[in-house]
Amino acid sequence: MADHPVATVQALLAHPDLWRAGRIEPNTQTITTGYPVLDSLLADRGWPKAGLVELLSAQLGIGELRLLGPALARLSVQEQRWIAWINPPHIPYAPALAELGIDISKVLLVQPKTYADALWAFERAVKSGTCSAALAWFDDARLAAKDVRRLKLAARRGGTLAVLFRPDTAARRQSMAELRILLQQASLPDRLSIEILKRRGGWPTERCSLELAYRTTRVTRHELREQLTLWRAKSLCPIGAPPLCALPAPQSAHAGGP
Amino acid sequence: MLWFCVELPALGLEVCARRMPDEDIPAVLVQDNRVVVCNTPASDSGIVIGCSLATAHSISHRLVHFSRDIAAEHERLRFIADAAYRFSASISIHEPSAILLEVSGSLKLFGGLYGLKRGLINLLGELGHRTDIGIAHTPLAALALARSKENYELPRWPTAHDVKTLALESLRRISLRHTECGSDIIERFASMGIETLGQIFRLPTAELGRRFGPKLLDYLERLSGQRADPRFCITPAASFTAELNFLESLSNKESLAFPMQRLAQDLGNWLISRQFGVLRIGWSFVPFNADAVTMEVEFAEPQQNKQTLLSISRLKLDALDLPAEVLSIRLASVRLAPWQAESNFLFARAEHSAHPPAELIDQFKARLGDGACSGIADNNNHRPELAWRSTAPDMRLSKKQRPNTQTKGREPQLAATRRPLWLLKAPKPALRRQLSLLRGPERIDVGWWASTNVYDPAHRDYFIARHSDGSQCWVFADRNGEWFIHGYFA
Repeated sequence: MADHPVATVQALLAHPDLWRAGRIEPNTQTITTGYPVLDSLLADRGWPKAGLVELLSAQLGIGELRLLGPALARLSVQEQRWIAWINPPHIPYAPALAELGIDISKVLLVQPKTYADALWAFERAVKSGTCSAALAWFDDARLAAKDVRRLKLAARRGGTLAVLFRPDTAARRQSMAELRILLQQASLPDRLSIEILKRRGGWPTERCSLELAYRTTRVTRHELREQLTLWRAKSLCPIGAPPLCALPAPQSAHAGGP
Repeated sequence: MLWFCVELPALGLEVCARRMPDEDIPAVLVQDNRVVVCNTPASDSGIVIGCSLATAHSISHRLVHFSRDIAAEHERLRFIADAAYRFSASISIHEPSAILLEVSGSLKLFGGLYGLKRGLINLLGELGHRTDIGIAHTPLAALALARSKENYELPRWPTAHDVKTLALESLRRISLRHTECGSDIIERFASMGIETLGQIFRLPTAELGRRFGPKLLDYLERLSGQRADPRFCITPAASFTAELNFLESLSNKESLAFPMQRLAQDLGNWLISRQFGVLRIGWSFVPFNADAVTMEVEFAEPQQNKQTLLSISRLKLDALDLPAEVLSIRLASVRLAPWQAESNFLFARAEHSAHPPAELIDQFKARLGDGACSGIADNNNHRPELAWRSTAPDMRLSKKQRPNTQTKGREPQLAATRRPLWLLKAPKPALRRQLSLLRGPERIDVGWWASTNVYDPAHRDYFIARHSDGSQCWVFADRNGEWFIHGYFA
């Protein structure tokens, strides 16, 4: 006598040796990204506190640091550990970091000279448990898959949020990082378009755009044009000469203008 | 008065055997062509004390033999006395191979007699020495008991009376060989049929003095405690130096690891006993007939732990060029600081703080060089390049602060920031047509004193612009209308 098919399937599914993909344990060790859109896309509702994250972008300066900003600020304030920057491409500017909310006394800049030293420094920073977060930029042509795997295991051991910045060509290569996000420029300033290539507990997502924290542009087009006209007028005057005409009092506050 | 005597029966051999790179090689100490001391691998292979050197070599072909190096023994004894300073403040050296400690004041700290004894045996075992310990109420009695390896039961917290009676009882059983009487006196006693101290104690003292002289009487009185026996106590050295010489010169870095470990261990023990932390140590690697190569290792915080000292030194050693053949290694403490032990929280909040933060800096400095690691700080200057400065990493992190629950950190706000997160080291020229300006201008005068023409102050008009490749940058136009990128709003 055959049992009811639904009952047998249910009995099967209740078997303890069977694991279902939707039933993933949430990782409790996460720190919120600060962006509700991104949080909702991640199964763990935030960046992993002990794991490797890859941020891929074609060029610098499209918003990758501002994406991490709220999390870094929270980590730097709550924990008594370093935030290590290994081999940064430019100088992290202290006044700007302070305005983001990051405690700059916890920032550690490491400038190794060779690729092997850089990899060693990143692994040490991450494994030792003395950094709450570590950001690294490597020569991507030399970065091998086994290195990435080692870094992920080291991050898990040391309890560090390890972030690896890679060019977008790395999107095609395999990587063992638990979270991979592709960053692209959005059409409007202060917005970032993200596409999650790999995440826990879900398939890769479509592209979506989010508004970055710390907006830099607040003036409207009209105000900008007005300021530019004034600027050009002033710059045509020789220095020291009185102004050609009485300029009208500006409507909006100049950003420390003439 | 409670005296411990630490007797090192194999000191002569152990001192010479420190030079050997490997501990498993059988070694013997030779005097007058006879073996007087042998180490464990040697006695395992069948060599006995008293056999001739030729016999010993024929038994074990890998055998190494040494003759007594009295100066080295004396130095080592002095070093061990310094190391034992952590157990007692009154330590005196009794030649040739014993140390006397007065420990009645240290019993409580070490949890009783047996805790103290175990601690001493462990310490000397770490330093690589076999010990016999004798406990009595006078130094000479303790010495005699240690030499005779006589064991007797003492309570954990003995009173003076307990110690005296039990010690005297055991003293009666030990043979005259282990006392400090001369061999001729011992022979004379043997011919009389007197072998043990107990028999001597029963003899009338006046007769003893007439037959054997006042020196023997003096010794017996000091032994039994009837006469005081004050000892000069050592004062520990103010800095640490140690040296290890090798039998054969070593030529690769892996083989240096074992002797360096020994030296680091000695330094660690010395630091613990003196309650110092070390800030800078100096290693010297000395070849034959050439100048020594020195390596100084600096630490961000006073260190005591020998593993830390060794691991950071090894890191730095990897980058060092050593002479082809190293004959001896020296370690010296260059800068010391008083040690401050830190108290831990009862409920530790940081789960991952396995290593102190300062250790990371030390490792980076050792491997990447001194300038590779820095922190950043604000600088009170309006010029963008000078509004930040590079500092040494802030070590206040390593001080364990109570987790701050009262003061909130600066919560990230959606505020307008007008400074870029990346600053370029030098402004990069850009084309105006690639930039679409978003906000500005902001004029920053870089200082009339910095420009060449005092009537022509160099000023820059900063804008926030969007580059054609998609990045948001901080650009400026200088006085000549040339455009430069100075930073990125990452």
